[in-house]
Amino acid sequence: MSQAKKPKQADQSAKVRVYLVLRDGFDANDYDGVHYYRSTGDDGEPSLVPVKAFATRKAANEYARQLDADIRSTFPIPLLAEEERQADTKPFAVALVAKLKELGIPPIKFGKDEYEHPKQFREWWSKHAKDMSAAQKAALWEPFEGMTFHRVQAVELED
Amino acid sequence: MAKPATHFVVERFNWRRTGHPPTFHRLPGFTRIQSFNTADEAEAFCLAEERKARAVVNPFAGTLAPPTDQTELPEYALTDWYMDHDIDPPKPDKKTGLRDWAKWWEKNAPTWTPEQSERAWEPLHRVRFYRVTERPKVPVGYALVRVNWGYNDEWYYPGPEGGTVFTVYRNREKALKECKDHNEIATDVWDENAHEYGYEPAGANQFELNDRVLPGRSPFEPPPTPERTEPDEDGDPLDTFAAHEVPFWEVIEIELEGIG
Repeated sequence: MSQAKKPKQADQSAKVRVYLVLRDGFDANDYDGVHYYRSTGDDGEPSLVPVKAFATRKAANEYARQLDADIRSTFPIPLLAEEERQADTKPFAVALVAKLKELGIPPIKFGKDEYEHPKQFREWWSKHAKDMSAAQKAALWEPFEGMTFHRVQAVELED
Repeated sequence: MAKPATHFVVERFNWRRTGHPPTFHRLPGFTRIQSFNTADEAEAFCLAEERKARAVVNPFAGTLAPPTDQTELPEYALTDWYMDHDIDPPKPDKKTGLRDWAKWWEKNAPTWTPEQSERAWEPLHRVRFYRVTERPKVPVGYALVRVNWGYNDEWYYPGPEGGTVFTVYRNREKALKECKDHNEIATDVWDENAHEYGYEPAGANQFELNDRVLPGRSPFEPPPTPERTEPDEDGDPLDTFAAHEVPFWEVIEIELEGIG
């Protein structure tokens, strides 16, 4: 039996693989102090916003990294220290307390209940943000450096 | 080597109207709005849009640490600045000593003259709605995105922005045609589901748009209203929509960098 390759179909030849930078979709919640959270549908699928496409994954990753850095330099960290993924864990509180001590900033008195920590962080921020320098605010992102806001997805570019 | 041709792109920061009465929040991200050949044209467009936003947004509401979030001036300097410009700043609360900037704006802004309003915004450099960036001219593509809808046991609600990306097209018309076809199918399916399983009486609106900004719209415009205007079974006005009035698929324009 012939092993000849099938001819490439016309619609396939028109497709090119590109690397799409996507931003996580966020929503705002004013309850217990304003904060932002990632939104998912009923099936847990995240809502993502396409931002820009690149020819290579490397270029897309670099752009995503830049956009993440822009967010860190623009937004107060307590707005984005969302409960489920980052803030509702002991390491979050421990790392943050240590960082505040290192920076010589007044401490946060976190309660026993971990689910209250994000709210306590927001309340603390409301009182102390005015006394912190831009460099100190930037340094407070360090315990959250694993938090990213953009991702890269390979997609077909069609004519 | 010749400098690549550039143009001036106006982008809107990711402001969103939330809640009743509405508060405006700036969330991470931005949206490409329009491009111009000259900086002057882009700046003029940007200024006009910025003014529309300023007319409806309370800059102190929905933020964690006003007025630090709004200005680089310390609070005492901001209050002095307002007094020097014939605007009475908020007074500190007798018990707490704190000033409620959001409440002050809400109460006083509607009484200001256009000149006072302009002055009131002047020191608030950290509150911006649009920006202009000069960028190389690159081709654009059109991402076909499925909106992710959820159900809250009473009605359906969309993800706040974006969704799931399926394909990116070079051709705008093709992307819009695919989007239209997908929307028509989805409308039929969801309409059927809403009638069969929906909480509202059959035929009533089942889809809430919440704070989602629809394609081509701005968060600073009045939100869309449903076509159906009769009240619901409790006599309240409907603020939910029928399936044919909401998006299930959208097209989002993006730049294609380094892609010939």
